Amino acid sequence: MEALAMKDSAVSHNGTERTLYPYVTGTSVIGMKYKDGVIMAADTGGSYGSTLRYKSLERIKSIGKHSLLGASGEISDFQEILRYLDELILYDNMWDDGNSLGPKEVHNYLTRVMYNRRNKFNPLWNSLVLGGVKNGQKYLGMVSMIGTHFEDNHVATGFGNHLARPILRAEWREDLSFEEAVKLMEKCLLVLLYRDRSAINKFQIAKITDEGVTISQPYALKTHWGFSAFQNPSKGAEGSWFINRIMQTGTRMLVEMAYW
Amino acid sequence: MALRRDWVYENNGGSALNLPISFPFQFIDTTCVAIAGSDYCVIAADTRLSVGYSIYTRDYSKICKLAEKCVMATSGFQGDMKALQKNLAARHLIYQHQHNKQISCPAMAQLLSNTLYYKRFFPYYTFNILGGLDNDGKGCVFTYDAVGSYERVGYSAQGSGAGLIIPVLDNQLKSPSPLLLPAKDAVTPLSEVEAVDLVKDVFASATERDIYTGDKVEIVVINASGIRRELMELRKD
Repeated sequence: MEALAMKDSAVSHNGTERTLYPYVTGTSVIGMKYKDGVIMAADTGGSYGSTLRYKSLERIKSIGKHSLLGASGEISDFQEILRYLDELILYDNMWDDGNSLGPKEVHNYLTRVMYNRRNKFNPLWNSLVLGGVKNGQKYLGMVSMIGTHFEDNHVATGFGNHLARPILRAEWREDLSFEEAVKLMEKCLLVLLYRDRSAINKFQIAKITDEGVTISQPYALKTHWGFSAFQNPSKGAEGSWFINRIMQTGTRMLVEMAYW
Repeated sequence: MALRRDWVYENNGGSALNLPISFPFQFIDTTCVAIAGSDYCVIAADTRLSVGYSIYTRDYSKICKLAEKCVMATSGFQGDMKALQKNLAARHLIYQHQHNKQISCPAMAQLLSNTLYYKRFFPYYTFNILGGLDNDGKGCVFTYDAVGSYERVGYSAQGSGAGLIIPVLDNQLKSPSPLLLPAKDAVTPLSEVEAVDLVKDVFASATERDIYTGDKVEIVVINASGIRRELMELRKD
């Protein structure tokens, strides 16, 4: 462990350090536009490698009056980004000119921050989802840790990109009502819960419209594990202590194949 | 443990040389094409944004209008692509303030080359084509590598589909051979409509065989009357 740390150490002689790999990570964030605004969802788990270390992390936060930011990846870097954005919004408010930064502007700012950190070989190890509404215009975009960015009607990070996006491509429509959007979102979240090892059954759904931001209390989805195949798991392939017995009767080849 | 270099460009689904490291041999996603005619220039690029084996979005434009008669299409790492386009657009604004006119396409070509070489030792991972009309109103196409080496040509393709497209253009554009001496002007004798049709055909073909090319192709045509843009649907698989 120590030898590994020495070899991969980012500490140089004058004491600077940079990010090499993430430690506490959040998993997917999903976002989609709907009729009145943008809806975003993420679970509240923070993993430390394969350990589920934190179960009540809020990974979606509101930014200014017009935006929501959801983050996956390194949680401490997300907190750092929130500090950057606090300062950005503060300076925006201090102008006191009636203007306020919209989601498009915040997305552009985040893209520049992520890209420039990557250029210095010290990335913020996050994939960010930025959604919002300003003056009736809905906006939803994503930025990755190296500055790859885009905007679309629905976005997802991490595993969500592989599991949720196909569902959204098939079923998303321009004029979803809030209830329909939540149902579609929960369908994606359920798939992620079943298939993403680092997902937990405790989600927050956030919505943003011209009226304002609402982030729900954490809640769980109903899952179904009562399949008959789960009742007697080794029915189709007997466990190893059987093999010895059956080897004696000479049907070893067949059972070994069934076992594997 | 991820190698330090792996994340700097893009984690791709596979490496070009089947090596465990993916830097600097990255799959170049997207395809760009440009064709110069006697009084027009066609520049086209697909609109798929892919990372590894995933598609992020089907609607991302890689073409940037830099000046009245000068348009750039870029393939490669998207973060660098956007930064480079912003950089050049800002430089053009300064040029307009200083010279009180639009920059010409050959001048922008030199500027792009210099900008790329400036980062010779940590390159913009971009493969660019610049297209437009030169000072005489003739079509011009400039093609670049990642560190700024460039050449004025009659037509070019860059990106993942380039290998599929350039042989077809060599054959169909009926341009003089680039190997002739004295060098003959490589601008195609085809008309604007024929060139646009050829571009559509060539993208449809590249889409069949290249996984990173597809969704839509954005075709920009520059001629004496201005800039025109059209979108054509491509296969989405």
